[in-house]
Amino acid sequence: MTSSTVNPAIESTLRALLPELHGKAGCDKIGLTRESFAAILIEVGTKHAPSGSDAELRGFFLALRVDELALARACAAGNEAAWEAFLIRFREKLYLSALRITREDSSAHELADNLYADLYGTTTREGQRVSKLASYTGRGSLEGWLRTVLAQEYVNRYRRTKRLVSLDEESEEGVQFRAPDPEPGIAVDNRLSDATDAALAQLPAEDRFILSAYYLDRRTLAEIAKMLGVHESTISRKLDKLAKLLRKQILAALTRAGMSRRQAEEALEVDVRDLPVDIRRTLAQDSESGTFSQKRVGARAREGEG
Amino acid sequence: MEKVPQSVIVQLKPGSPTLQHPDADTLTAFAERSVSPAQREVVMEHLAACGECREIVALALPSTEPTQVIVQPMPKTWLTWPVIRWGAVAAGVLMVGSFGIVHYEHQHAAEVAIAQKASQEFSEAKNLPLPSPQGARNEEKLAQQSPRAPQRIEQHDLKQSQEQHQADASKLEIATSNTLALQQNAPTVMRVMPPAADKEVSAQSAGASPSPAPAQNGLVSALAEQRANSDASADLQPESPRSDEAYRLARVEKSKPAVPSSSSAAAGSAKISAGPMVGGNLTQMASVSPASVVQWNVSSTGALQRSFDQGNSWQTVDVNRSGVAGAPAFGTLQKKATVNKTESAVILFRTVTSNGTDVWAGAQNGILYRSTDAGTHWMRVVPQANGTTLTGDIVSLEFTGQQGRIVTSAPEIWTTSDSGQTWQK
Repeated sequence: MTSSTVNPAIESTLRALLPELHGKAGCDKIGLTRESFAAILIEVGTKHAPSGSDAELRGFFLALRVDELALARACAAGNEAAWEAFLIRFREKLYLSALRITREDSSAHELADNLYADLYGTTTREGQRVSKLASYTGRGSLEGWLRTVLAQEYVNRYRRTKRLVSLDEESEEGVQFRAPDPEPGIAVDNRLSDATDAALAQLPAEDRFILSAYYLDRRTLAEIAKMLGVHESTISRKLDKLAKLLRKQILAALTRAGMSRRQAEEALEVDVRDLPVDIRRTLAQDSESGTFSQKRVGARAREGEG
Repeated sequence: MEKVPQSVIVQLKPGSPTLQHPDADTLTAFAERSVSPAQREVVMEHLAACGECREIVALALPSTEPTQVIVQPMPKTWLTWPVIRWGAVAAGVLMVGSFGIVHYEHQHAAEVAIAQKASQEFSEAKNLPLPSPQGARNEEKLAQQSPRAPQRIEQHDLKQSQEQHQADASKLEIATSNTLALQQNAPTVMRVMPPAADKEVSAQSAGASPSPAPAQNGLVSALAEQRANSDASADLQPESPRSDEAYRLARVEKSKPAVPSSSSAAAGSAKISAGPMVGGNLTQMASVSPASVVQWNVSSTGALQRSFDQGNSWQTVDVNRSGVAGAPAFGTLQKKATVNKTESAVILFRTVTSNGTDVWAGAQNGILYRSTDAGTHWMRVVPQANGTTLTGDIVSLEFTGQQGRIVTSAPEIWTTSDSGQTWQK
C-alpha cells in the first residue's frame, strides 16, 4: 500500500476496510499476512474496481469474496494449509463439475486431474510457480470460477482434438461437400442481407446474445435464462418481441429499397441457402458444428482450385 | 413463439477475429452478475459475437437447482410482496363478499316485492284494504276470517308465484335450449352457468344459516318444493307445463355439477364443503368473481347477447361500438386498416364461449372477436397459419386458458396455445 502507482482512492478505501476484510478472509488460518493480503486487494482493485465515488469503491471491496480470494491466492503461493482446505472444499465439486461438462466418467477424471495440476502450479516460469489460481479475483464465486476454467479447458481441448481430424478421413467417410457459390459476375440481390444487417446492428448486445444463443447455439430458454440470471419467461417474451421487431424492420427496409410489400414478404420466406451469402464465413463460429463446417468450406475451396 | 426470419439467423455474425476473449474470472463474474454495468456491456458485446465464450458460459452453469437467480436481498420493510399479495387477496374477498351480499339483498327485495305485489293485487281483486308493509299479517287475518280466503290467498299467491316461475322457467328454458343447442358445438358455454349457480348459492348462504354444502342441494329442493306446491293445486292449472318446467329446471340444476370443472369458479365451488361457515362462505365468494355471472348467447338471428341476471334479460352486444378501432389485434394480423373498414358490416355470429372475463365470439366468414373484460371492449382476431387465413364460418369455439380450438364449416380445425397470438391448422 505504499506503492506510488496505487490509486489514492483505492488506497484510502482499503486502509479503512482492511481490518474488516482481513478478518472476514480468515487469512490467519491459511498463513496469509495482512500485507500480502492488502497487496492482493490492491491488485484486484486496480484492475477491476469502478472509477466512481468512494461509496462505490467501498461497495466493490465489500462485495468481494475475500475468504475465497485469500484461499485461492494462498494456494497459488503453495501454502500447504491452504491446499488442504482447498481439497476438502473443492476436490469433489471439481470432479462433479467436470462430469457434468463431459458427461463421461473417464473424461471427467482426466479433465479434473489436468485442471488440478494447473491449479497446483506444476509449471514454473522464471523460477516462479505458475498457478491458474493467481488469476482469481474474488468477484465471482471460487466454485463458479472453477467451473468456468473447466469449461474453458474442455472447449480448448475439444477444439484441438477436432482440428486433428484430417480431411482425407472425412472424404473416406463420404462427407458431402456443397456446391460452390455462384460466380461473382452474376447479379445478386443483397437487399435482404443488407436490411437484416442493419436491423441486427440496431439491437443492443443482450438482444443479439439471446438471438445467437437460441438460434445458433440451440440453447434452451432455461439455459439462456440462467446465463443471464433472469426468468425463463423473460427470454421467451424477449425472443417473440425480437422476432416481430426484426420482421417489421426488415420489411420496412426492403420496401424502402424498392421492393413491393409482397416481394418483401416473399423475400423473408425464401430459403437463405439460395442466397449468395457465405454462411460459414459469416458465422465462423468455433463451436462443434462450426468447426466441421469451416473445414468443409476450406475443402470445397481447395477442391475447386484443384 | 414467432420465429425470426431466416436471414436473421444467417446474418448473426461473429465479431472481429482480433476480439479478445474475457478471462475465466470475468466470465464467472458476468454469469454471477458481479460485474459493473459498464463491464457487463463489454462482456455482453463479446458474447453476442463469440460462440465459443457463450459455450463456456453455458457449460459453466451450475446444476439445475431452482436457486440460481442472483437476487439482491429485500429491504426489511413492512411493505413486502407477501403483505401486498395477501392484502390484495383480502381486498378481493371483501369486494366479492360485498357484491354477494348486495346481490342477495336485491334478490330478497325482489321476492318481497313480488309477494307484496301479489297481496296487493289480491286485495284489489277482492276489494280488500290496500296492503301495508304488514301485508302478510293482514292476509293471515283475512285467512282466519274466511275459511275460503286462505285457499284463495294460497291459490292467488301460488298463481302469482307460478306465473313468476313460469316466466323464470321460460327464460331459463330459452337459455337452456340455446345452451343445449350450442353445447353440440360449444360445450364451454355451459361453463358460465356453474359460476352463476355458485354465486347464487353463496349469495343466499351469505346471510343464511344453512351450510354451504347442502345450500346448492337446498336450492334444488326449494325449487322442487315450490313446484310441488304448485303441483298440489293441480285443479287450477294443467300439470304438464309445470312438470315440464320442473323437469327442465331440475335438469339444468342437475346438469350444473356435471359441467366440466375446468373453470376456476367451479374449482372454487369444490371448496364449499371445507372450512367454517363464514370463512367458508367468504372462500366461496373469493373464488367467484363478479364477471363470472355474465352469460353469453348467440341468438337465432346471429346477434351476440349478454346477460347479467342469469338469463332473465339479454342485451345485444355490438363488437364494433366497444372500441375496436385502434385496439391491437392478436395473431399474425398485418392489415389493421382493412379490418376496421369491414367492421361496419353486420356480423352474423354463430358461437360464443367464455372463460371468466375472457370471451371469444365466432361468426361467419372467419370473423373472430375476443374480449378480455367480459364484453366491454372487443378485439378482432384473424387466425393465420402458414400464410393462410381462416375464412370459413366458425361453428365451434373451445378455449381453456391459453389453449383454444376453432372448428369451421370447411371443415377445418385451428388451434392455438398462446391465446390466439399464433395458430396452427
